[in-house]
Amino acid sequence: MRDTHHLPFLLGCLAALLLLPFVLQATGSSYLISTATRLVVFAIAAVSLDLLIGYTGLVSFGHAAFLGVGAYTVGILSFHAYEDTTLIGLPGTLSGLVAIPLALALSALAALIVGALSLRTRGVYFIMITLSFGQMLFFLFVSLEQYGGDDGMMMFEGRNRLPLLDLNDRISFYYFCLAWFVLFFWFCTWLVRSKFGRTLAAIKQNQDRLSSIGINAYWAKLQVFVIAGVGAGLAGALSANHTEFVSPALTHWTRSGDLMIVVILGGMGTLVGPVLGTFLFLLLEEFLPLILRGLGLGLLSEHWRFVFGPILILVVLYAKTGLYGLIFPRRG
Amino acid sequence: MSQLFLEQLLNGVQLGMFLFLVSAGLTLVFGFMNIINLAHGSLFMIGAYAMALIGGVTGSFLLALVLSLPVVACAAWVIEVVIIRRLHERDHLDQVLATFALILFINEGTTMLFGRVPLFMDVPASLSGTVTLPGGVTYPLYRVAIIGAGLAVALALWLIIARTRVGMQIRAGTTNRETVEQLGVNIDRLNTLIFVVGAMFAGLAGALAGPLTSVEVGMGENLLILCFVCVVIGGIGSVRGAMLGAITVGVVDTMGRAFVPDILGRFLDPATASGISAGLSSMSIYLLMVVVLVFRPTGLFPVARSV
Amino acid sequence: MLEIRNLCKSFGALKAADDVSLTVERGTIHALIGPNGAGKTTLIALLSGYLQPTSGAIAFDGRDLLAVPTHLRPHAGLVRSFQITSVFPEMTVRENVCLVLQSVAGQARSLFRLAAADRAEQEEADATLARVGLIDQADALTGNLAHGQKRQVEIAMALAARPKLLLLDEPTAGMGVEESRRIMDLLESLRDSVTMLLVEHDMDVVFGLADRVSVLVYGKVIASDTPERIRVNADVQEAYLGDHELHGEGD
Repeated sequence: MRDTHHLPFLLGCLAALLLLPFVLQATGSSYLISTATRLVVFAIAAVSLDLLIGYTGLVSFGHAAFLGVGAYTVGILSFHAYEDTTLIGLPGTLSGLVAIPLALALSALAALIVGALSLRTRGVYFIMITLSFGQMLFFLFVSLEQYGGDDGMMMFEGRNRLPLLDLNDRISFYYFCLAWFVLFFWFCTWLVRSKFGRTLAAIKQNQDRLSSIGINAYWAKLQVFVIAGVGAGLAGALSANHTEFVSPALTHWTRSGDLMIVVILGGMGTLVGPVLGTFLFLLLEEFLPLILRGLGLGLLSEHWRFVFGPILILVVLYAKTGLYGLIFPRRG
Repeated sequence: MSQLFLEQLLNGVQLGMFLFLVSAGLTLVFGFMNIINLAHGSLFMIGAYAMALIGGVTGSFLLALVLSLPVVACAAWVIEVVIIRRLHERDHLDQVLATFALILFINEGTTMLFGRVPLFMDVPASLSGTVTLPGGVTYPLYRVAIIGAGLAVALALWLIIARTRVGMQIRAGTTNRETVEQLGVNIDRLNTLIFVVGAMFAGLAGALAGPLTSVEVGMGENLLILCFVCVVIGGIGSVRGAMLGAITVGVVDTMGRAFVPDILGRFLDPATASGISAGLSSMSIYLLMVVVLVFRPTGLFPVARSV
Repeated sequence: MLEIRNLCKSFGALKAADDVSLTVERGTIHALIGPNGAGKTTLIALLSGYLQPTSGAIAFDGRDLLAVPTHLRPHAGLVRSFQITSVFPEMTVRENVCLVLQSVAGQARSLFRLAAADRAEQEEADATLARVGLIDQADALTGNLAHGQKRQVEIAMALAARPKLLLLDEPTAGMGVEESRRIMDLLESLRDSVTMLLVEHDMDVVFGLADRVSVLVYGKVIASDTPERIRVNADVQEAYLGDHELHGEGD
């Protein structure tokens, strides 16, 4: 098991994230607070995916589906609150105390169903069946014409309401998301170092051996699949609140691909890695066009993916430990 | 009703032929090289672009078709030598990521070269008529030609795999790679051959699809995911399975789109019915795959593997 | 301890186990020998639950073993070690053993406890490692060990499961004389604490350790007796005749 203590580093990052809004305001670039919020929200999704890919060796290619479940839960509740209509007899709500827990519960349920069926398969078949479930949910959301179909829907009532905290204030909302991120990150740190985490590592290394020592690998895989699904659902619920918009694009299979990219860029099998990967990904998305323009490659700036693709291929082929491996070269 | 049914059935088979042409390469590369190639759909797209561009310049359908295949073959050869070859010893995760990155590269490059406006091309005059089938159904000749082309490729592929020396090596390699290597077969050359030939099938499908759909960036990916469904349903590595999977998916998808709204319309109001049924028919094939995998976790025609 | 009655397993026309009946007495080391393809591996797979028999019954420690699912058989006291070394390579030796202890203790109770915080578990793991003579390698990554040491880890893992019956599938396969000797000494030292069913090709090991020997040929048990009597049994001699005395080479 890879060592995950880098306490000074982690505390430094936390301090930086806590101080970020002040720094951004002081330097007159407070428009970047929205980017910072995206960072912490998608870092939650990336860390949750790494529990599957990096820690358990389960290559799930449909993780964005759970983003969608979380986001649509918040969106649909908000929609009915705005329209003052009901869904199967229940009213909509803007309360974050209802919407967010419900988003988590529904993504857990979705992950339970998807996991229970998908985890019967292995290898390529697992990749493909999770991709298929992702596509099913994508088309499900596309077919919800009441909720905007293909185009998705705006949340006209704005973000969820909470007692004591105004989420429509962007700094409060940033801290709200940061709190969730810290909570989830801490939970995962503990999880991977627990005996359950040791079981997951064993599944990754030698799954067939587990049943001979009396451990039911299927059950452990299902548990971690649900935990990861809840993580993605949380990110989805926060993302819906952030953009005040939900659409099927959130669950498109390329979004699942992006999440995998983030994990590998940062360094899989570590918890810090996916966070670094999210950071790098957003950084590239925001700044690679600018950098390319600066280099006199104006044509490429609009098409930054043309440069990003080969970079990614090089990372996959030659730098599998990702950004994490650069920062913390492995001893021994 | 029955005429419409027959027509839709033929449309389903015709879609199935496209799916088969793309799936055949996918399943061979999967089965023999043990590589997941997400960028296989890009080869379909390259075929379509080559066809549309060459067709636009020369004005000849046949010439464009003949010339677009070598274009795809060259592209595939470069991809194989530069990237795919390095993925043999890697796990599936690396393969998925590297070929996903390749899609980003190819799509963005195509956008840069040809813009975001879709290209269109016409069905050639010689194939633009209709044929009357037994039972009085008229059906576009071009679509009949596509079905014919698909069947011809399937037959050729079957002959190659069942009857030739190379085919024997491919079959042996799909079951047990090491044995083939020990037999002194040049495995690198065989890999490249399989990859390029598979790519040419996908390119052929793309070229033939040109007159039926708009040629645009991203056209490969939607088809690719359907092809994964075909390959997985059929059993990875099995060409026979890919054929069966492709026809099944083609027919289920087409029939679903054609008839589910009608059926649902009898129970629900039309607006709701059309909304739900669009989703249902898109979901149906994925549902099909999930059902197959839950009961047969390695597909309908699993290839026995002794790695 | 273990009673196999009229066990059959066929793969199509091939009968890999043909009416096998076999009794392993408590406190003995029972060896199972036979020429290549005799069905030894199949029998192990049937016992550990990787295969289901076509017909027949297995009673283990007074229970119907066939009714126990694969992953619960170790909990019932039937533990196997593998012919092909099969450890968790990226974990330390101690962690490999801890994983077994965690399974034995029952997962639900302390599953979400920090692994490093369970001192008792680690002490028990170290005690087990001391028994097999691996204590000085406790913190080494298992994947980096020599082949023979990995087999010792296997045996430590099997012991950690507190087996009533230990299924040993060729514990000395692929070992040199020296390593082989060490494993024999180790098994000898465990004789009093655990019953063993030993599948082995190396006749020195079999006749050096076993209290009883059963001979499996083409899926049938042709003899089951003390080592001395097996040596002179005419049927056994004949079965092995084409196979160079009582010396097989390995599957």
